[in-house]
Amino acid sequence: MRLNIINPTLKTGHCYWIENDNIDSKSWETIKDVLRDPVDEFILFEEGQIEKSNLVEISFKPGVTDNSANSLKKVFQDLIPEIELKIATGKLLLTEKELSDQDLLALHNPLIERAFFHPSHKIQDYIPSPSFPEVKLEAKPIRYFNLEELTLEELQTLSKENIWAFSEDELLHIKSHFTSKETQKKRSEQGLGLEVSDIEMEILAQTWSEHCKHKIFGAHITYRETTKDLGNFEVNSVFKTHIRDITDQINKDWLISVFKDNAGIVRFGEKNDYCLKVETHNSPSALDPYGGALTGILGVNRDILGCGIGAEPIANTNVLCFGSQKYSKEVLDQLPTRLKKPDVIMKGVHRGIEDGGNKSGIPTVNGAMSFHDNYAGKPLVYCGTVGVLPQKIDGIDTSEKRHEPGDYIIICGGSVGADGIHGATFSSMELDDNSPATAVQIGDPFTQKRLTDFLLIARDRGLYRGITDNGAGGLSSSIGEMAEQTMGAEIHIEEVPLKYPGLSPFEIIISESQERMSFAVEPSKKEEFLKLAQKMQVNPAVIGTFHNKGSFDIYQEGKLLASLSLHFMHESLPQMKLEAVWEGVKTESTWFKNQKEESFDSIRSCLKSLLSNENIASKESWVRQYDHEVKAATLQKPFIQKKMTSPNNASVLKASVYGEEDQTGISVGCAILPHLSHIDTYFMTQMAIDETIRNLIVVGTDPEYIALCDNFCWPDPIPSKQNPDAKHKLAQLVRSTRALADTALAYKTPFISGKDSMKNDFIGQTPEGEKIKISVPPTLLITGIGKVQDTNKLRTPDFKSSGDQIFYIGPQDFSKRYKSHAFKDQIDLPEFNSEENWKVHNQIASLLSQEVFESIHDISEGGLLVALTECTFAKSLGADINNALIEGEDPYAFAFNELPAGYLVSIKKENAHKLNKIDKKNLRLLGEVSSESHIKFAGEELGVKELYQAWQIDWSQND
Amino acid sequence: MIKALVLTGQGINSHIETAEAFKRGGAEAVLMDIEDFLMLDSLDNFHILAFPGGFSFGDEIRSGKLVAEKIKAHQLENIQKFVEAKKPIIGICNGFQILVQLGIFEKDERTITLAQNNHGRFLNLWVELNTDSTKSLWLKDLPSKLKMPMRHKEGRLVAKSGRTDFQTAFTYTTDVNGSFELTAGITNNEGNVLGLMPHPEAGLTEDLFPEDGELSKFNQMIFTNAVKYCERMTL
Repeated sequence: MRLNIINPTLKTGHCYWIENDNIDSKSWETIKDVLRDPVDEFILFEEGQIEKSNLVEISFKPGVTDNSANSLKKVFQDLIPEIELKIATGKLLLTEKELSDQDLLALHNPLIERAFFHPSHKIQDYIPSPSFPEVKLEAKPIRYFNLEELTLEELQTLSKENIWAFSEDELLHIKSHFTSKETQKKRSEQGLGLEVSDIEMEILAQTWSEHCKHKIFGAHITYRETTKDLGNFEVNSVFKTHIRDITDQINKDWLISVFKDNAGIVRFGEKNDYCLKVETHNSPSALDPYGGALTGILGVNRDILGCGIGAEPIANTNVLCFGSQKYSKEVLDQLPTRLKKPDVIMKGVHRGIEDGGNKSGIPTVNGAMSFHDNYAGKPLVYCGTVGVLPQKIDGIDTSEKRHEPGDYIIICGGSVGADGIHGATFSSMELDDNSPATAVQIGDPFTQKRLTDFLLIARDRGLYRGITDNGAGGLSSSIGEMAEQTMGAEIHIEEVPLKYPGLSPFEIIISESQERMSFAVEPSKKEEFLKLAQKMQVNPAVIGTFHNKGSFDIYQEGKLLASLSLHFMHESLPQMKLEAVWEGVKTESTWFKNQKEESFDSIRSCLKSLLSNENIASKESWVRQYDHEVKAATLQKPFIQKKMTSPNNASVLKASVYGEEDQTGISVGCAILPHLSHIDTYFMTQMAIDETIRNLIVVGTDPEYIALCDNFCWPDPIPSKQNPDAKHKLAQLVRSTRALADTALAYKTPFISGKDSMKNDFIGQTPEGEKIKISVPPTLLITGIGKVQDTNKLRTPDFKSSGDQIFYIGPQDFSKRYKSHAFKDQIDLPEFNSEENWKVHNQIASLLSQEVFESIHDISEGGLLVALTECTFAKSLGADINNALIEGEDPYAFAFNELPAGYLVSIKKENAHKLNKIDKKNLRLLGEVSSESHIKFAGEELGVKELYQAWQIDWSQND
Repeated sequence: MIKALVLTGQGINSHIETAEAFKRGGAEAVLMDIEDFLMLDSLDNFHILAFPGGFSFGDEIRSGKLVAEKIKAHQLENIQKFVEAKKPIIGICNGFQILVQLGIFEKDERTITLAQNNHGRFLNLWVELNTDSTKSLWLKDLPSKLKMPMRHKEGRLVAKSGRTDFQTAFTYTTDVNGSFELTAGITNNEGNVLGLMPHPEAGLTEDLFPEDGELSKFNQMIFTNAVKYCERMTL
């Protein structure tokens, strides 16, 4: 049966496929009452007609998560329990226009959806049910490979065909392991054949994928440079040398768990610890922007849920990098066939972030958007989450997992389907025109919300003692990693709940179907755990046990199918050896050059062009679609909204909402500066750290209590025929991690968590058949979490009253124009003096704690004048800084240079003397706040309203 | 002590701050999973019933609809008794949507619904509201203007005909979503059932207000009013 519900006002509707042969008329009425709103909807044909409109119908392809149907099923089980319904849903759009196939493509994603156009004159007799979307799969038999006989070439072909993404060295390593006498003896004892199963190959492919194993960050790298700068050196794992060891060296006493769990944990409270994790979800977001971003958010939430013994997610962040939205028709004409338009990607990703946060009841408190033509091939979707973890529950430390041999492995949450198979290996390869659709999953925030509610109750009752999330690599990765603690685990795959039959054993093991958590439950707690899980409807299944046999074993119906030594899985992989060659500054080449080169003949035109630059322009219309204050803890919100809207620097959460008894807060901020990468990633990294610190400092963070998270998204730095400049890209990476180490040490600010994504390249064809590669600029996101000692002293960036004096605080160098958003073609970089900057940050923090300032804002993208303009909006106040310039100074360099450690403050005249501890060279009086709504600078008078309008760009201009 | 029953589970997400509002108002707040609530034999132990904001059942089909259907199947009678006993009920955002889908405001057939905003977007924005303190026990002694955030995508009130079934409790001072007569919240004619889209529980204290102002203390008053009313009733 099929029902079409129409909402004539909104010109939309829903359609439902409902299958059961025995629906009586009373139940049918119940179903209709649930599906149709009596006030503003009608059932097509039965209760009303659409006369002139054409109908577009969009529904899911078989196997794609249908959240509406899942929710409906749960409710109908309750309302008409005697009938088991099969349900599928779709959406309807009413349109007056005739739509072509091309038009339909803009309305749906053919990877996961199907769309039909029903012209108005045919609606009466249209039989609108093509088919109930049902997955029909036949389980493929297990395949076995005789590694003794297969040649390297044959193995390489297998690796590519099966999306294993093994390197040559890895294939040889596998071959030598499985053909060794020792392994063969063990396998015959276990009753396994000498041939290796696809299950084993698949588990290794997941475990060793770049996504899971971070082989490049662990590699031995020889760094050389053609221009003299850092000198030549060797580094044995940039992760260990430049990140983890530096954190150890900084050795803050508030570090609880770093670089070993799903997230970093810091002690910024008396009762609670806080966790931070940022993930990326780039490849899936390129294929299905909505599903990819949604799963990204839900996935990083699960990282927090699986951190320690289970933390509660309390805030989300997101940083999104897209191709320029101001693209021309020429860009569209040359856009590779499989790529989506930059605005389609942006809208889809944004909607995914919106649903991921809003529907989970987690406020989205901080983020950024960055635009660059070279993000057109792969968008970057960074999703971050802050979690809160009580330091102790029932006297037991919560930061460690404590599972032991004999504990049951119980999974809860969604069931397993073919969706998300090969996500980890796939994200470790460049995208091409044949990338698999099964790599895409659609998240279900509702299922995860229920899982979260359950998990926190079970945690507080002590019902489990080990937990992790099932993300990339599926069970092979989550249980494979948990097994390291006890030294072994076994899984019985027939116990794993499936969405539909027909999955092969290896698919069950590596599927990345979403919303699942794995728990380790001690035998005495099993019954209570299962009882609670069943009551809270989170679909628990006991799928195996942890043991200490040193292996990871897969059984089906009591028969051992696969067994891998944990040592071989996790410890044996030979270190990669790579070469990096730094060739100095390179000119930036974009896959498509935006033709419009802007020129400016006045401060006004330059400032307005900067304000309407996508990287600087207001994102308010996007950000207001995120709930940023659910949980009633968000003290510093993304915008200050009075007469107009000023942007904020970072967010502050009220710790007392989570049980602290004082006035402390938790701050979250970030920075991303890819426009500097082609000049020097060392400087880019220094500036990104500095800007993150500034963002945190201005909202009152104590500089002694800041922890950072690094997220690298790089173009492929592994040499191949398609990748001739790999050594330079690797050198850019090494320079970046080296700067990370140097700056973290100078600022005594540790990194606690991080992630890298190293294959952000797209290889495809233009419509004319020309081969094209689009690689992202080397991109580093720095996210920071800090402790605010007294939230009563918070200051916002907006100017408060006329007559207040305005100061620039921080190192100042206006002697020339440096590379920045205004001076795009410059290659000179300003000096970065870590010691000097750190001193300024501390002085600012100290002055804030003395409540000296009226307002404070950091000076970043766009430089001083952009920062000053942003301070004028909220109260529509002006500023007179006509006397700020020293004679002979270049007003453009002064207004638009982007320097490190720069702050813009306003202060009551009578308090200005309190700034006298700041070095003269780091302090300049710019002028004062005025009641007239103008900015006066360099003889020009700029209306605040005019500037505000320039800042509010029309994001839908490409529609 | 006055007991406020605050529902949670199945995607509700503002229960903590809603419970906090009743605690600050002097009541004991009892958090209860919707599934447990559906199984209760009676609601007599409770003085106040609160449906907090959130995304129950993921907002699928229509916000609030699926919880309302479950309540209709299991707990409608007790709720009707609660309403008739003039005990206070509040629905905020998704909670308001649930109340509307329950048909709690109308005598007979449904005449109002909450539909997608006219701009089609979720919007988190602090809004100014007009109110009339005479309409309901929840609104007693409130000033004519309040400020609190709206955070919804489906908050446009649609009214089929007339408006005899409900009274306007709050109106937006500017048109933020195309709602019928700028309506942000309504009460039943007796005034004991209040439903509103914006979130008073998100602005209970001054530090959460985006600007300084005296209005910060009045959002708490909405909840305190209900507690005091119950205290008077039970005397």
